[in-house]
Amino acid sequence: MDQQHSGLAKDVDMETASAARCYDYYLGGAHNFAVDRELAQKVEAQVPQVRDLAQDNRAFLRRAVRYCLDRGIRQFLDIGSGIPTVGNVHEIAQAVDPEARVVYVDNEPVAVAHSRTILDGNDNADVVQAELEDVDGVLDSPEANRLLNFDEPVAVMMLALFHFVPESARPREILRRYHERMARGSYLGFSHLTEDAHAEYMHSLVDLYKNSSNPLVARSRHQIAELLQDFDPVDPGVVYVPEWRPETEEDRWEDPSRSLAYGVVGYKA
Amino acid sequence: MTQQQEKDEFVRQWAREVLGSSYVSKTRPQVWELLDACTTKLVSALMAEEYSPVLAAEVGARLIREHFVGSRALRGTLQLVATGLPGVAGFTCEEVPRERLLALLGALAGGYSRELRERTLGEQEVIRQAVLQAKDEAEEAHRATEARFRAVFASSALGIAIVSLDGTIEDVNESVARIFRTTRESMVDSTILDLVDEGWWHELAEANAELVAECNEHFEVDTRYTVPDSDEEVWTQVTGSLVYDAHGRPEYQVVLYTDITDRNLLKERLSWQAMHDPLTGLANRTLLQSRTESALDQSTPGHRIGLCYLDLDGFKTINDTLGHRVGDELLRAVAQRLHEVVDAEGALAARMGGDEFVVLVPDSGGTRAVLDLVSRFYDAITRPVHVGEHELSASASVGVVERETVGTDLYELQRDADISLYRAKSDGKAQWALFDSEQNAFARQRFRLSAEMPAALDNDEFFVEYHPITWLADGSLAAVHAEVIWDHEDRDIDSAEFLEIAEETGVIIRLGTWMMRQVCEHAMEWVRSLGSAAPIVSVDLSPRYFRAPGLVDEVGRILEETGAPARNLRLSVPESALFDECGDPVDTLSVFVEMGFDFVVRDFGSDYTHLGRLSELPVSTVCVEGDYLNGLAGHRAPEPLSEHLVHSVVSAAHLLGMTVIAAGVRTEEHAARLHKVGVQAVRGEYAGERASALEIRELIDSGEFVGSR
Repeated sequence: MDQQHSGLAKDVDMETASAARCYDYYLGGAHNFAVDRELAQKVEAQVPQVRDLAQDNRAFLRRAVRYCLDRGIRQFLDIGSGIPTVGNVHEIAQAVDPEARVVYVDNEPVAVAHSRTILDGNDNADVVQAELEDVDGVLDSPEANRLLNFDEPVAVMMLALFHFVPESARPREILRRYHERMARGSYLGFSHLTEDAHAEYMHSLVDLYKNSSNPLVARSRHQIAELLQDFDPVDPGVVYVPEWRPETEEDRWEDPSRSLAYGVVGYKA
Repeated sequence: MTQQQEKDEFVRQWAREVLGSSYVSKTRPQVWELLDACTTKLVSALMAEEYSPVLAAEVGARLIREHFVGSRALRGTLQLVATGLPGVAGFTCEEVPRERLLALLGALAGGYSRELRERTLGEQEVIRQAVLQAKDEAEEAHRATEARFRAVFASSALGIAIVSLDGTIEDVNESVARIFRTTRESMVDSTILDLVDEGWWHELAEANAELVAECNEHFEVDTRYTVPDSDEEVWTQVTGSLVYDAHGRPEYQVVLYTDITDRNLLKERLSWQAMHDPLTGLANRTLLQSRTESALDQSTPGHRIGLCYLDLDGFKTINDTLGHRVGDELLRAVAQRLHEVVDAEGALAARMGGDEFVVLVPDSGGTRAVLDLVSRFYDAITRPVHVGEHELSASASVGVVERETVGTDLYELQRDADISLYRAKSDGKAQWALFDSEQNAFARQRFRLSAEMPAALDNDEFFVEYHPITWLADGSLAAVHAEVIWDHEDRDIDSAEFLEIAEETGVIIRLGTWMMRQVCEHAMEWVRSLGSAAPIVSVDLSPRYFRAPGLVDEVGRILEETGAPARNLRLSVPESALFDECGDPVDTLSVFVEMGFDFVVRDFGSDYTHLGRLSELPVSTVCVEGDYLNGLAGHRAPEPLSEHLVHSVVSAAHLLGMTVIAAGVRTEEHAARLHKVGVQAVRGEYAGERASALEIRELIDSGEFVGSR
């Protein structure tokens, strides 16, 4: 139950590591606490390329946002935005067009409070605390109402997000409902952990995150394509994130599958 | 390699060294551009006439600002600068003073680490602030929730109590205090059981225990509470539910109190109205039934129950002559007296409607005790009643059943009480009768038949057959006599028996009409198939049927519809039915005669009242039957008295010019003796077996019966 519906505040839990702050750590940020670093270091010991994959995922976000900007999109909804360290959507978009509008969504109170600090004074960007599953709560929030127009194409970013959504929460249904509200010509940026290759790393990750605030579930390429069946994937389709439109040949990894994550941009025709 | 190519190569290598250790929001080409500028700065620092650490420190800080924060980025940068920068500047390593290069590297590292420390502390501060802010917001939300709850708690008209798991009241709102006429302070530390009367303890305690044991999600019970030192009763609907702690364990309960006192009063009034007779205030049928059922539920061996059915005699006459107002007053007076007597004995008086009352003795002390009660209330209700200027005396018939509850049921009890009342009435009014299984077996049987008969008519369980009547002179067929037979699924029932019941209950009207139609259809069929050889049919009409309003029209319609000729039918009626109260022939007779009917007087000789006037009527035939005829039936010489009686009856008929038929004749000897005294025709075994309409036709067709009139 989210805050709006229950009328009760979600507690600020500082005892348990948060995926958002671990992610910040992998990116080189210092927006994290001992409890987060403890988990992050354990992960690094088991999955040495975790920093690379976090950074590649972040680079994929940058390329996906740029891709949408190049196609005229000027409004962005970034769900599961986490702790915005560097290279946030509003920075990328507003560097191209200062009028570009961005709404961030996260369910974690600290991440939301942090975003609020960062966005202070930026009239074209705001943050909503809500659950991904609460589609109406997200899309009809006062912030979304103020900044976004769903009658026009929008880019919805769901990066490194759905591997925190178990089957019991019906992820396919959630995506369908977002798709329903998005205008034709909209885009969906999406990345997701997989165990199609290097399953041993993935198993370590699942194990390590089991007792964090955000347990993980890996999905196969096929399952991911199925989740996104309402959208048309743009070229090159569902690929390991380093392979998705790299800026230079040097940015491709020798073994892209070591990134453990698929990336895709979907289009609503 | 040109100078420029050397620099480009340096920049690309530098990018490789720094990219990947942390996230940078620039693309690789943008990074090249950045590092190219940094390289220019470092070259100028290296080449400066006078050394300054500023430029190199700026480069170090710039790397941090671009988020090249990983230790690998610094290590790679320092190594690359140390080995590659002189080449970019156009020197060999040996040509650059070692001190200058080391100073430059030191400045670069110093700028880098100072900026990194600033950035780290800054970010730590930001995230700490974010946590504080998030906590504040959560706290604020909690406070808002808490305030909202407090507002609901304080202002609710519903009583709300916070109760520990053991039932102790920890807090209540003002409404609970108001509902229970006390103060909030005095309620704290009492228990929820203190808020109900003793009679409700068990129910509430049990419901509460099930809640706390998590058998139920909530409970709801209606309870009563009597305010101390006053008679005031407070009814509340109590609803309880559990509140769980963060670990999902029950923590305390919330109990809600709704004041339903007014609702209950209304409900009681409505339920009194639903259970009582509005005229007399006695219990009505519903309440009686429910009390009787609960009395019957007591299956303790030896427990007895009594049920008395009462009917006021002649009440209808009082209503008709003195008016309903007087009738109602009489009913009220009787009800009042009945109630006074039986209520004192723990019995229940009820009014069923009209002038019917019932007394239930739910816990009977035996037959004698119940009969004693009957005689007392009988005395009470038969004392004269003064209504206006009238002094009325009620009398009643009472049927009583008294027996053990074990082995009886409501239906049986009511039926037997009804039968007893029926017996009391048929024994003459102003009587009471106690149910007796032997005496009542017969009554019960009749009771059942009367109930079954209408359905039997609907289900075509009746049919009509014919007894031949033959002339004694030549044995030829004089006529046939119709008899209605009940094809009862369980047993044979003598037609005399069910016809008597039909006569009493009035079913005879339907049954008589049905039979008349059957007979006419058969008669017509015979006319069609046999022509002039079609037999005369005699059909019995009961006194009640014969006097039924609309009979003439009904019979006329039957004749019309079936086409049967009236001259082929003889209507057989008892002598008494032919005359009205004044001794004059009934009006319908002449109409029937006009229609072409002839009459037979049956049971001739049983009553001489109207004998003299019979000759005035269109009657050609009499039928004699009864025990005295049997005096001539035996093998021995005829019994003289019977012979005399038969002789005088037959003689009387002859004097009136009547043809005489005798019924129930079995033997040839019997027939011969009757013939000798003047009987002209007979029916019974001797004349021939009972046969269906079709069989009669075949018998006549085949010449077995010779038709003769």
